[in-house]
Amino acid sequence: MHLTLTPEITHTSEITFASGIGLTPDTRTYMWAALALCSASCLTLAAHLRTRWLAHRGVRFMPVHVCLMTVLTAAGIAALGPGGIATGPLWPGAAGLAAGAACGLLVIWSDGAVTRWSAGRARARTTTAGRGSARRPQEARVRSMRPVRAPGASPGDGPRRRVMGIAKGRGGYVPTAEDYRVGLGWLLAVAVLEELVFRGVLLRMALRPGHDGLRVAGVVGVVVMFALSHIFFGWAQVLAKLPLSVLATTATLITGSVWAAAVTHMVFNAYVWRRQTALRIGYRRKEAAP
Amino acid sequence: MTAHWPWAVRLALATAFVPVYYWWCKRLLFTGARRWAHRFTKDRRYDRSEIGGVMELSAAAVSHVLAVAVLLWLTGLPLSAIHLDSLDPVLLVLGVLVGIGEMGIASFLCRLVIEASLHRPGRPGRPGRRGSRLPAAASAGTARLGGPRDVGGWIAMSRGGWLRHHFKTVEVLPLPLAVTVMAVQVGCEETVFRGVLFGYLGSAGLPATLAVSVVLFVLMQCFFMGSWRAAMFPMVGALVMGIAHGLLFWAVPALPPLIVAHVTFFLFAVL
Repeated sequence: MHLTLTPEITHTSEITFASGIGLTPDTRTYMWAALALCSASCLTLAAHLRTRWLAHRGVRFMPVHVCLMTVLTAAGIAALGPGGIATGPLWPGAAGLAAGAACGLLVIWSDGAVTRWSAGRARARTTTAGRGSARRPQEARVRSMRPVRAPGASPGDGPRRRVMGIAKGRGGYVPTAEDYRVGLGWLLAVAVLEELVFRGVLLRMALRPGHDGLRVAGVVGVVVMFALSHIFFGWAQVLAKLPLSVLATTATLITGSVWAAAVTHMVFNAYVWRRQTALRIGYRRKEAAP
Repeated sequence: MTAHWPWAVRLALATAFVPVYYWWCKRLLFTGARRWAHRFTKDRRYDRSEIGGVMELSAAAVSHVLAVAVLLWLTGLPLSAIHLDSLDPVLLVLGVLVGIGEMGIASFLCRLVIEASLHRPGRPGRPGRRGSRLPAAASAGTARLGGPRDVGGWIAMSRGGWLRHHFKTVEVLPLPLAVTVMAVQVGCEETVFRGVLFGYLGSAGLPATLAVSVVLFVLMQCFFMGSWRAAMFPMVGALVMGIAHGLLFWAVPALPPLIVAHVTFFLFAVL
């Protein structure tokens, strides 16, 4: 199996490197390392930035996530060249977009099937387990602990201690389902940017090694990483996002462009937004009913 | 001094150094630092744990410098072999980004471990495949034995052990001084686990050297942690950093950008 993006794209990247940005090999190595690490963990980084330093200023998760992915995409274009992101062969245009939309419908069906299957399992488990158990969260015990003070010292004594971001932050340093209940525009932007980061930047980096084994491992790694990045919504969502990850990666490898995958993801996110909106409206009607 | 000895002997020496220094010597050091901290609690502005944390980290930083000097003498490696002199500003800036990225990956992997632990079969409220049910009292006991019941509990655990020194130091000392103490300590760790180990054992090739460096670096993190669960956070961080820094040092033999990345990782974790 020989995995590669189209030769034109690889060629474009090399030209960009050779003449566009005069990077030394050392700088390029560090730049790729930083780009790979930050791109692979973009969701976690956005959640940390927001929870620690921005949440208390009223900043929501989605703008932080979108800004971070935009910066990473720009850095990816600077480091790898625009090939596969901003440029690519023309033929995927109409056919690629149609294929992307078809893949989107397939993803909607498979995601729904996995989600329903896991919800059924969870219901069965709840029925078996019964309700509640004696529970005292460990954090409550830790918070109740007090530092040992010197004899005669009162808590108000002495200089102020620095309040660190990690102490200020509340929550689990992760995005929640509530963070994703936003307007359609945000969800479409996230769809495009996630594809640009995972398929545009990470997948292209995974395809750079000369050895085929390393390339296959890299592609599988990117597919799994994308699915695992949804761990914040539970293991069922990790499983449910595997079809999207596989199809988007396949579409990118076949068409040589990230746009078909972006269309797939946009179709899926538009469906998610519509479903969330319908559920909200239904809930409000139920609440309003006498 | 021992640089020309057979590789297996050098490996044994390097492996012995980690528990001898990072466990035994540091235990003596921390005991001494705690005794001094008790004397200093006459200063009532700070409590014992704060003074103890600062003193332990400061003592560790000073002893790390001495340990590096002893290690260089034992191995016979010249200073030029550990590549401390590469101060390319672009690489230093990129080192900051590498550190942030490593923190993100480490945090993400820790989250995976936590989720796996919270959702594993057999947890109270989540019976195993056999469908066994525990009575309420037994469930609570299992919860205590089986670790935290939620993410908040895990995060609370992550502040224990030797990480407490770093938290206390940043809380109490002026930030530039706290960062300096931290930088000296982690700079010495980079020097030992990348500079010295790669120079000393590098003749065996990248895979063997990287494996030894990563294993020893991860092992060192579990010393002075209260439990394996508390040690999970630094061990996962060390795994990510050990692999990334090992590969980067092999490709670009320059230590200062890696020290910057390590300090950034810590600051991002603590601040």
